[in-house]
Formats: sequence, C-alpha cells, structure tokens
Amino acid sequence: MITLTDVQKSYRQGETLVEVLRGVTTTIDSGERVAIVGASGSGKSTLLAIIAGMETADAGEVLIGGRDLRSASEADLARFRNTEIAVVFQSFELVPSFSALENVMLPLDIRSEESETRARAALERVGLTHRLTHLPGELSGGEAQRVAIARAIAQGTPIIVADEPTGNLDAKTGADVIDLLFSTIAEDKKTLILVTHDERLARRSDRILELADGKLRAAL
Amino acid sequence: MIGATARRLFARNWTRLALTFASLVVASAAFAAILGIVGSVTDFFLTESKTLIGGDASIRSNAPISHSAALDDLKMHGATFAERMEALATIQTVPENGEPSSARTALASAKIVSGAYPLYGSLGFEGNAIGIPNAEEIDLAPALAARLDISPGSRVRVGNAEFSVRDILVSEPDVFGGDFRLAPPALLSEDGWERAGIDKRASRASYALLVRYSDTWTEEEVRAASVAIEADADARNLRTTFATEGPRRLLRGLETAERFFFAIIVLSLVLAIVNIRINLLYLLASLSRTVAIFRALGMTRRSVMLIFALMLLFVGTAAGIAGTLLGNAAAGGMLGLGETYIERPLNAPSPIAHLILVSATTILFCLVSALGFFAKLFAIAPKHLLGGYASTRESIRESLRETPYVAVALFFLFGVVWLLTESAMIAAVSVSSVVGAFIVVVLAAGATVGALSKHRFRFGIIFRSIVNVMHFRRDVAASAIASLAIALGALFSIALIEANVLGNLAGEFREDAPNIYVLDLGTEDLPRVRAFAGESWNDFPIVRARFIERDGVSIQEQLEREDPELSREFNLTDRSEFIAGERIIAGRWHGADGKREVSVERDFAERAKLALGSRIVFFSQGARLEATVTSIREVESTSGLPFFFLVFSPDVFGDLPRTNFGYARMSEPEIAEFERTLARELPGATAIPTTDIVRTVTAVFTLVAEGIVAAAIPALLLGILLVASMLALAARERANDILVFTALGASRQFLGKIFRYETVITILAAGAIGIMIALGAVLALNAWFFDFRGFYMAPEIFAGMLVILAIGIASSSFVVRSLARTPPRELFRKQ
Repeated sequence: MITLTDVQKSYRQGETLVEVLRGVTTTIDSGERVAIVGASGSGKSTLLAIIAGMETADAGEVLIGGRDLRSASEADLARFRNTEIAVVFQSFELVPSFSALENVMLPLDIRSEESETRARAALERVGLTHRLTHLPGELSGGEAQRVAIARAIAQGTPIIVADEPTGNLDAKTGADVIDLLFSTIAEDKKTLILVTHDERLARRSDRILELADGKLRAAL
Repeated sequence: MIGATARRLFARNWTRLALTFASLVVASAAFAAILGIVGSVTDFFLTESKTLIGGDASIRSNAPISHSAALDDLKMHGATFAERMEALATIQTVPENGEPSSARTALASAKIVSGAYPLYGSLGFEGNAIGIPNAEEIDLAPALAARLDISPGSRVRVGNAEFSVRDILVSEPDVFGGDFRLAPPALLSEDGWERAGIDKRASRASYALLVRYSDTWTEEEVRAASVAIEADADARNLRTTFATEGPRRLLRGLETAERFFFAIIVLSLVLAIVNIRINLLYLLASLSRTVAIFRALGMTRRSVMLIFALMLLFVGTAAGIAGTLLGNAAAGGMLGLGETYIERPLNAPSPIAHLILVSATTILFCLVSALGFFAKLFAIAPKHLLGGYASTRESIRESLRETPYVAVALFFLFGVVWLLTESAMIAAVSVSSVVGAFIVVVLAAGATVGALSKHRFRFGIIFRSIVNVMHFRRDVAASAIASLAIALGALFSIALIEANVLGNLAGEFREDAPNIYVLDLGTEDLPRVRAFAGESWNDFPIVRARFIERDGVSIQEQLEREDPELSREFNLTDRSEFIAGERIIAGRWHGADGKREVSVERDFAERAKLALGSRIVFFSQGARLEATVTSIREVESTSGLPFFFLVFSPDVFGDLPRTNFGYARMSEPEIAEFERTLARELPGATAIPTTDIVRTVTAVFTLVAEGIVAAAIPALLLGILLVASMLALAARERANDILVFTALGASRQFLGKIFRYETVITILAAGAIGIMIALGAVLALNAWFFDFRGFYMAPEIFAGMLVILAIGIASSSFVVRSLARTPPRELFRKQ
C-alpha cells in the first residue's frame, strides 16, 4: 500500500520559489491501477519521482509498504528503487551500450541475482526474443519501450510506475505497448501508477487522480 | 552574421574545446621552447665565437704545430698568435712534513699556454691573479684543489718540478675550443711545462695554434687570411676552425640535438592530433543537432564551415600565443640551468620571439588536425533532424571515410618535421614509427575489446559494463588506449635508456677489471714500474699508426671520405697471449710463432671490410707495418678490461719506437700509493684511475639523459591530459547512463567502482603495452646500437604508472561523484 500524507515539494527557480506540491494526500492499494492526470507543469512527474524514491519530499509523509521514504538513507533508497518499484520512462532510458537482454538483466545484476534466465523470460513475454542482442539504437521506439517494460517485469517489484509510456510512440504502437503493460500488470497482480495526458488511456485504470494547484483530487 | 553566430556558439561551448586548446598549448610550448633554446644557444655560439674558439682562427693537431711561411706572412701583416697545448698529467702535493707517503695525487688536464694567450676574453680566478702564471706557478681548477685538499700558496709537484699554486682557475674563455677533457684543468706556462720535463712521446696531447686577426684589416683581408690559413692547414693535414663560422663542432652538435628533439616532439604532435580529433568528435556530437537546425533554417554549408573555422582559428591563435609564452618561459628556465654549466650568460628568448611563427604553425596544425571534423560537418544535412542523427556512435565505415584527412594531417606533420630537422629520413622514420605503433596498438586494442565483448557474459556486471562501453565506442576507446600506450611507451623507453646507459657503464665493469691504467711508459721504465706495481700489473707495447692499405689498394683517401673515424691514428700492440675478455670467433690466434699476422676486433673488421686473409698495411713513423688477418676477435669493450682493435704477432713492429701501456687492479690505498710513486719515479707517465673516467662519462650521459627526459615532458603532459579528459568526457557523456543506473537502484559506490575499474583497466592495458614497447625498443637499442650486454630495469616506470593511475582514478572519481549528485528525477524532468 502507498500512503501519501500532506506531501509538499517546492523548487527555487532563480529568486522565485515554485510550490509544486502543496499537500498531496492519497492512498493507493496493492494491485490497484491508478492514473494521474494534470496539465503540463502541474507536478505529475515530481509526484511520481517522490513515489519512486528518486526525489525527497520537503514535508509530509511518504509511506510505501510501511516504509517511510523521507527518513530513508541514500543506500536504503537505492535498495528500494531496485527491489520495490520499477519505472517505465517516456524516453525508455535504456543504456545505449547494453544489448536489449543486458538492459533487462541490469536491475538483477545490480542486486547480484541470477539475471539471464529471468531477462530472457521477460523479453519473451513482450515478444522480443528475436532482438536479444540488439543495441537500443538498433530498435524501433515501440521495441525500445517493450524492452523497458520487460526490464520492469524482470525487476520483479510489486509496484510499477509509468511516466507517459506512450508519449514518444505513434498511436498504434502506443496502444500495443499499453495493452502489453496492462496485461502484464493484471497477470502479475502489481500496483500500477500511470502518469498520462491521454484520457482514453487513463480510463483503463481503476481510479483517476488529477493534480491541480499542487493538490491531488479524484477526477470526475 | 557568421561572426556573430561563431561568437555566440563559442561563448556557450568554449569549455567543450578545452582539450583542443590545452593540447595545442602544450605542443606549441614544446615547439617554442626548442626554438628558443636552440636560437639562444646558437646566438651565443656565434656572438661569442671568437672567445669560445680562442681566436679568429684555430689550427689544431695531435702533434706540435710549427709556424709555416703562410703564418709568418700573416704575422708580418699584424696577426697575433697564441699557443695552447693540453695533456694529461698527474699532480702531486708536496707534504709540509716531507713524508712522501702523505702526498695526495690527482689526474689533471695540463693546459699550457704561451704567446698572447688569451687572444679574446680573459681567464677568471677566485683570487686576484691576472694573465698566465710564471714558470714557478700553477693555477688549479676548483675540483683539483678540492681533490688535493690544497689552496693558493700550497706547493705541488708536476713531473720533475715543484710549483706554487698561484690561484684557483674558475673560468677559461676558450673552454669549448679544445677536445673533450677527462680531468679538470691545471694552467701552466710553457716555461713551467719545460721545467716539469714531461716527455709526451706519443701524440696524446692536443695542440692548438690560435690566430687573432689585426683589428685594422678589411673584410677582404680577413677573408684572404682565412683562405690562406685553410690552404696551409690542409696542406699540412691540420684541422681548422674559424670564428666567422662559429664553433662548428658545437654548432653541429646543437643541430643534431635540435633534430633529435624535434623528432621526439613528433610524439607530442601525434598525441595532440589524437586529442584534437577526439575532442572535436565530442563537439560534433553535442552540436550536430544545432548544425542540422542551422541548415534546416537555410544556412549554407559554406557558412557552417566558416563558423566552426572561425572558432578553431580563435582557439588556435589563443593556444599559439599562450604556448609561445609558456615555451619561452620554459626556455628561459632551461637556459638559466645551462648558464650554471657553461658559466656564461645565455639570453632568454624575448616574450614575443617566435610568436608569429609558432602561432601560425599552431593555427595551421589545428585546422589540419580538424580536417576530418570538417568533412563530417560538411555531411550534416537538415534531414538528420528527422532521423535522430544525434547519436555519437561512429561506424567503422565512417572512421574509414576520415582516413584520407588523417593522412593529410600526418603528411603535414611529416612536412613540418622535415622542415625543422632538414632530414626527410628523420621525418619519415619518426612519423612512421609513431604512427605505425599507433595503428598496431589501435588494431590490437580493437580486436581485444571485440574478443572480450563476445565473451562478456562470462564476467560480472561491472566488468561487462566496462567491456560494453569500450565496445560501443570501440574506435575512440582504442585510440585512447593507443595514445596513452605510445606516450607511456616513449616515456618508459627514455627511463629505460637512461637506466641502461648508466647501468651498463657502471654495472658491466667486471670485478677483475683493472681500476688503474698507465699511459706513456718508456720501455726502459717498465722494470721499475713492474717492481712497485704489484702482481696484478700487466703491460703492452703501443705503436700509433694509420691504416693505409687493404689488399694492396691504398685506402686512406677513401676512408677520409667515407669513414673518417677509421682514418685516425690507432693504438696497435703486439702480443702472443690472450687476455681476459677476448674470444676468437673466426680463424686462429697467431700465438708466439705467428709471422706477420694480425688479429682484428669483430666490429673494426666489419667497418673496415676486413676478413680472414685480408692483407693490411699500417703506416707509422715512416715504416710500413704489413700483416695478414688470421683471426677475428670478440672483446668485452664495456667491461672495463683493456682491449685493442688490432693485435699483431710479435715479429711485426721490429725496432719501431714505441710507448707502453699498463694496467693493474688495486685497492684504493694501493692506488694512492702507486700514483705517488709513479709521480715521483716516472713523472712523464700518466696514471688514470678508471673511477674518475666513469664519473666523468656518467656525468655527461646523465646530462644527455636529463635533456631527453625534458623533451619527453610535453608527451607526458599530453598523455595525462588525454587520460584525464577522456575519462571526464566519457563519464560526462554517460551522465544519462549514470542516472539510469541510479534509477534502477545502483548505489554511488557501485557507480564509483565501475568508473574506477574502467580507469584502472584502461591505464593498466595502456601501461602494459607501453612497457612492452619500451622493453622492445630498449632491448633492440642495447643489442644493435649501444652493444650493451646487460639489461637494467628502471623502477621509475612503476612509479610513473602509479602516478598516472592516481591521476586517472582521481579524475574519474571526481567526475562520477559530481555526476552522481544529480538525482535520477532528472530522467522525468527532461521529458
């Protein structure tokens, strides 16, 4: 379960203090699929970064699986990112010098677990067994995003967050990727937090939350 | 518009050109420093020529020089003459207690001057002495006074006479006018030398007749006098030097040194080309999208090229100016050091000296090195915006496309080196050996990375990650390793050469090698020397003669033309026994019964084109010494054992007048006692303790080795610059990878490990190749050039490796630490 209580975050831009999150409070249950929507610059990505342990909130409480991320050490946060939450980025974020297989193996390698068999299996699930040895630069956008999803699957975390996963893809490819993502989530009973501008995509979730004026509210 | 765009682009990207700038500064500084040093020393030689030579003209020989009619004629017309003779002599203190056993001895280079010496300049003394000493006096160099532990007023014995030490001689005007000295000088007058009564029957002394032209002579008269002196000297087989040409031997030496250093600089220039190429590759990667946008907005290719040419022109000019100033400052420092050696002031180059030449060459060098970059720039088209051209990865085909431009840069380099060294051969050998080694290492490194990549799944994530990155940027990684390997190889070679020259000179001395030699012994003196020299004493007769015929053909003229070294007088000996360190490699030893036979040393035989059965004739004091080569010998020329090029059978010399040469191995107190006895009993003989010679020669080699090390500094700087910047650039380029690793849960320690291991692997690989290159080069030099038998490792190599490793690890750790501070949330922000 993910519990956010009065989470606040602000940035300084020059001499101006920009308050991005002004007290976000919500709870996301295990296995729930939640979409977060909002205008550009509303703070969606900041909220996602805080949930993913890549950013620290200025105030409030961030409890994920009973663990308070605000008081976690840097090493704890690194372990958390590796074992508790997987991220699918809009720009795929594959390591360009690693093959598709190695990119999927990477999070398992980092925690020194057997990686190759699980990575092959994950790539098989996303239909990329014929692209194992290809470098990211040799893959299409859709294929690259499927490798990123395979990486999230192989990582084996209970939570997957996806930030505009179809933002860099054409409509047809985007739809295929989303089908893949949702089916995987359903099969593995994972929690999904999805940031998107796409209303149709958001509607496939169990719940839609809208971020506006630094606060989260249920979308109508 | 072009100028403004270039200015704006440069203002925002100048840090990206830092490596190009730094490389050009180092290369141009090295160039300016050599020009400055050579220019200043040449100026010094030319302006001080008359003083350095000792006159307007110097006539030299190994035998006394008589005044000819031509010289008398010059004297009549106002020329002034001075004579200078130098010979080895033993100086002995005269103990106040009259006890001979407490006397100290030292080998000196007795300098005997007469006439109007010095014709130019003046002698420098510690005290108030002026001019040359009288017949009762002697002046000693500081080293001699220190060795004998005496001061002015003390009494010393030279030959048969006692002298009073007048003063300490600290400087001589014509210090470069004579031959290489094995001992510090002692100044005597001609009358004083006569009092000493030392008889130099062999031509071991060097003689010079110095001429000063009249100040009233016209230029035409000066020229005519020089022509007359040269003709007269040629006719009498004497050597001449004229002040108008500068001290030729020194200038030739300087020219050789200049060529050598310029050849070493090739290494720095090749490294600079590599640095610039790598740097511009990164610049292109970061600005290719900008260029594509410029092109999409209607900018012509010509304008794009001009913008970048202007940027490089600015970098080249700034680097040229900075490099010239730095180089001049370095030259000033080196010349300051030089002043302490020659005890004369040397003018440091002025701040603007060579500014235009070095800056223009630097700009040209920069633009030529960037030819490949311009070719790639030319190829950027607006359509690349659509294709996501921003990838920095180069395919092998793209690299090959750049080959012609690299070839142009190397051809330019060859031209510059040719121009500087005036030798196409030196230019070709230096450029091709550096480039050849570079290509071999690039291919080997590329192949190794390829092979490792194939088997990378056998390794852990850290090593696999390193192999992946190297494989991904294979050409850049291989270039970096090769550049570093060549730079380290050159530096290690220099350290090894120094260790081997010094080690072999000192270390190859056999334990049973004699440590004292005695020259100029008369045959009648031998029984007396044998009596007080002890059991280890051994002596040989010596006849000095010239090689004049081979197999019935006169060859003296041919030798003078083709191999002047062989046309000099040689020390010949006759004996029937072998001595330690000799080995017959062909033919048979003539022994006591040989009839007109000669045994020839292997290298001499090769050089003089002699084989078994060759008939040779040497000429000595009107006599022809004829013999047949019946054996070829190998000798240990660097072992400290005496050796002769030619050993005749005992019947060849007949009644020819001869001197004798002897040697012994003694303890230090025995040597001191032997020298004292010899100086007392046989003042005409010269004792040479070998430790003195080794010390002198070692000092000369150390000086040369230090010069070579100094010339390698630019290469070292460029190598370090390359390592530091390559690691920093590689880490910066992989900033996104670091973010991804962090987002996936990698700790800072994990990331630090990857980069540290990568640094260590790169440097160790380059270092290992560098050590192999250095070992190969020095083993080859030892075998074929120096003829050394021993190999000496230089511990500095490992110290150097540790320093480079420390620099590499520090720079990579610094970059990773600063990059790892960026939180992975940036992966969300950039979208």
